[in-house]
Amino acid sequence: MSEIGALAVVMAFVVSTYGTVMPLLGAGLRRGELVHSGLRAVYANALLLGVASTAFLYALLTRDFGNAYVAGYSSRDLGFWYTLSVFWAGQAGSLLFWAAVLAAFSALAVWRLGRLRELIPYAAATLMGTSAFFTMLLTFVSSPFARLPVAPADGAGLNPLLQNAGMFFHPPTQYLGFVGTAVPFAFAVAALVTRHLDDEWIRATRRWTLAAWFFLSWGLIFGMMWAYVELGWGGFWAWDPVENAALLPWLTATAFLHSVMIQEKRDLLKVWNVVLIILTYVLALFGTFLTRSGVLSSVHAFATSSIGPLFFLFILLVLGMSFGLLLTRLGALRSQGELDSLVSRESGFLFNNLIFIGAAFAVFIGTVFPILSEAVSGMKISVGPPFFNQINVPIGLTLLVLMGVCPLLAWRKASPGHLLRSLAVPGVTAVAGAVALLAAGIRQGTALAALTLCVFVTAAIIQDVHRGAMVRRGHGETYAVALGRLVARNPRRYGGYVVHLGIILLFAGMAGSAFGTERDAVLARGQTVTVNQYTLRYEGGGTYTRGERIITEATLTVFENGRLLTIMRPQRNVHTGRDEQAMTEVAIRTTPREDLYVILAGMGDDGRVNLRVIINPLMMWMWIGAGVLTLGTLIAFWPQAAAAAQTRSRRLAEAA
Amino acid sequence: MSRTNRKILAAVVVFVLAGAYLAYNGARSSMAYYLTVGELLDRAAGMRNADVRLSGLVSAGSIARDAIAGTLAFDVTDGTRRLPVRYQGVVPDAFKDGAEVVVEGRFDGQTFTAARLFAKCPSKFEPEDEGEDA
Amino acid sequence: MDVVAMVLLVGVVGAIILTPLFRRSGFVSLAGPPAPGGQAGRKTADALADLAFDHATGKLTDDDYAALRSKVAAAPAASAAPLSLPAEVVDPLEAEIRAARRLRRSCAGCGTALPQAARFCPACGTPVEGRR
Repeated sequence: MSEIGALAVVMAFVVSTYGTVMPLLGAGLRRGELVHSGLRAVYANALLLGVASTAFLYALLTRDFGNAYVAGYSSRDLGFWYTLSVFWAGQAGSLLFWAAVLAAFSALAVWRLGRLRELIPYAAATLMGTSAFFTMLLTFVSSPFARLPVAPADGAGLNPLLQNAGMFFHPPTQYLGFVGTAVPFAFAVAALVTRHLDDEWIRATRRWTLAAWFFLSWGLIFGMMWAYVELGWGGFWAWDPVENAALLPWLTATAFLHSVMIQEKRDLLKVWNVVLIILTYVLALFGTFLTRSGVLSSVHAFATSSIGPLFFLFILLVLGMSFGLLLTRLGALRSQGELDSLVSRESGFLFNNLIFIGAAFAVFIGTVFPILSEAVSGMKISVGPPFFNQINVPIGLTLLVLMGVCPLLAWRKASPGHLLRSLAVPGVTAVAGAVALLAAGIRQGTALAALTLCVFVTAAIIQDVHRGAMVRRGHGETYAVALGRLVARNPRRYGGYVVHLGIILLFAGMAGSAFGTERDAVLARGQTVTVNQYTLRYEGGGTYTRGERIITEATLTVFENGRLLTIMRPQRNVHTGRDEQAMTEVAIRTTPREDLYVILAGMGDDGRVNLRVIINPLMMWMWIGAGVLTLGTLIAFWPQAAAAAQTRSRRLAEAA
Repeated sequence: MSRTNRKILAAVVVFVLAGAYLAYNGARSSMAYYLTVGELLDRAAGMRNADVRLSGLVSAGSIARDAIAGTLAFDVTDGTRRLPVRYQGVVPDAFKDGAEVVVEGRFDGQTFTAARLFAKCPSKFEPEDEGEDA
Repeated sequence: MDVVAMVLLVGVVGAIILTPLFRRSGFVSLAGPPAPGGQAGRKTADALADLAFDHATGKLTDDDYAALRSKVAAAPAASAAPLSLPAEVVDPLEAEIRAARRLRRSCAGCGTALPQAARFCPACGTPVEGRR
């Protein structure tokens, strides 16, 4: 089985190369059968990587410890689901996963978008070029099918820190997002090459972009959930280079998602859009590279793994070629139109672009600062969370303002008087919200500003939806029908509004972390610690064994304002299977208002415990926001109401 | 340049300047030298009272923990040289013999006093585990 | 067993990739860049619909709306003739029909109504006259 897998990977490399060259050759020589053969290679590539992935899964599930990777990351006692997750636990496996997803997406893209006869050869060539790079790595540098000279009796096992739900969802989702950006990128390249510089490539790949953005978002959300629940230090984001690596393409992808609407409506921002998709794809590659090569956390890792320099070269190649191509088409891309007014939806989107790019730039600079400063001054200097927060908190607040104001702006040129009138109700609601927040005891400046703006945006969105429904009601429909038809006629816009509501909830959850509380305490049995309205009494604790884990647990009775609330049992475990890995299991109690989060920092021999108690306000709303975001994306994905299209074409036919 | 474009440019310039100011401020308050053990020991004299992020490996067998007091003492090494670190606070799970660590704090010439401790699993794939001082 | 599987794999992949090279491909030959202006009618109709909606939801004064409407109707893209708008355009669909009507065409080969930006007839494949 292993030989089949290895063969499939090598063949995939050959086929990918063929699939890169043939479509280009065919398009250049105007020979349709060459292009056709090249497109067939895309399908063959998907077949081969499917075979390779199946062989790899087979090796994993049958515990083939002769396979070096399987021996390195799994073991006999590893459960079924975690064994599956070993697929992407290490370098070779995650490269195979990337290549397989890319192969599947490429085949799907060629199948669904093959009707774009002029673009498809170049898009396919771009996708296959990327595939060739990854399969090259898999064949020559990091093979998932490498064998050990002697098969050990049991494998080394999966690091216990990776044995949790987060590991199962986060990496594949993140990779689906990264790889997903390749398809719009490929079509952008094709559009540039063939000088089809209208919005055909954008409209064709709209759903791909949306899907990639969706997976990038969930990659980040799963990452935050994982950090919060499993890594257990009380927060969900640390501006770690690896985290930033996932954030960067999300920022540019969000900008791209908005900016293309302007090109579709007004033929403006064409150069912006091409730049944004190139940046998004390059940042996705960069994110993959950063996560795999550890270049930023440890220079040693970069030097010892040959994958680092190769990846770096590939990224430079992609960047150079795409921007080079862009430069040669710059003249043709210049917009015919012009921005009519500073106060218009178009300029709102333009500012949106700038803000997202600004945020991406700041995060990027902050992340690579050590490398830059070393190049400049010889000394590595790094910046920490305060840098990122100082830049991104105001950016977040500005985005909130834009999210509220933009829906109220007209296209081309908004009437200022009417704009102010439109802002009245949301404005008043926001002020009322601010008063309510102050009354609830929230004094912290940033949080207050953010939450007030959240109220503002929600009111603005509801107002705009309501007004839209009222317009339809003028045609004689009931409110419910009007609302339904409104959304069905323009799912993109209203799905977008729902996504914004989701983002608002996410921001609200994040704002909560600005006014939380933290308290450390050392308690003997019977002693208590009080944080805000909670009192925690340490009842006792002990150590026991469950399977491979030595569990140290403290039992705490929690009172709220004197009334018994619940019992919490934070743990500090040691996993003996794989050289003594420590694992903290925090105890969390969630309410809509706040999370009560308890970490068992340590237990002494005398039975005393060292606790850290954290109050995280509004955390739950982050996860609710994630759900709302998903709903909004689904709505935005939906095709425009069939009735409208039929009516339209029927009336067009009648008029012919 | 049309009136509209000029207004837009002006607004953009304002935003960029505001952003640059915030970035500068943020950078200043959190900038720290990023050094290995060898580099820090070489420059020890000049590094007193400077914020430093020190990276290295946890020296095997050097960990001394007081679970109740929450104090941690260990030696960090770059393979050849080592220096002692003192830390107070929650210790991340990934921290153990041989783990890659980054500590933020100050070096007084003898001991490194860490305000923050990050540990990373030897498999470069996992996200960093963070611990913070109270 | 494994060897059989490997040979099979190579064979199947080879067949998939190489068969197109040996037959006259159904893959239509490639054309050059599109003629501009194909989208003009639809975009203008969409823009007018947007303006009407913005006006109806209270974002534009009546004067601003009228001014923008004339501006949009008077300036479509290159190869389309300027639209003459009737004074009252109540239903955005009407404007759309009028705009689209100017760019309708039928296939010379089979007579099917052609989509706006088509270079080849989707029914019979005949290249569309006058478009490269």
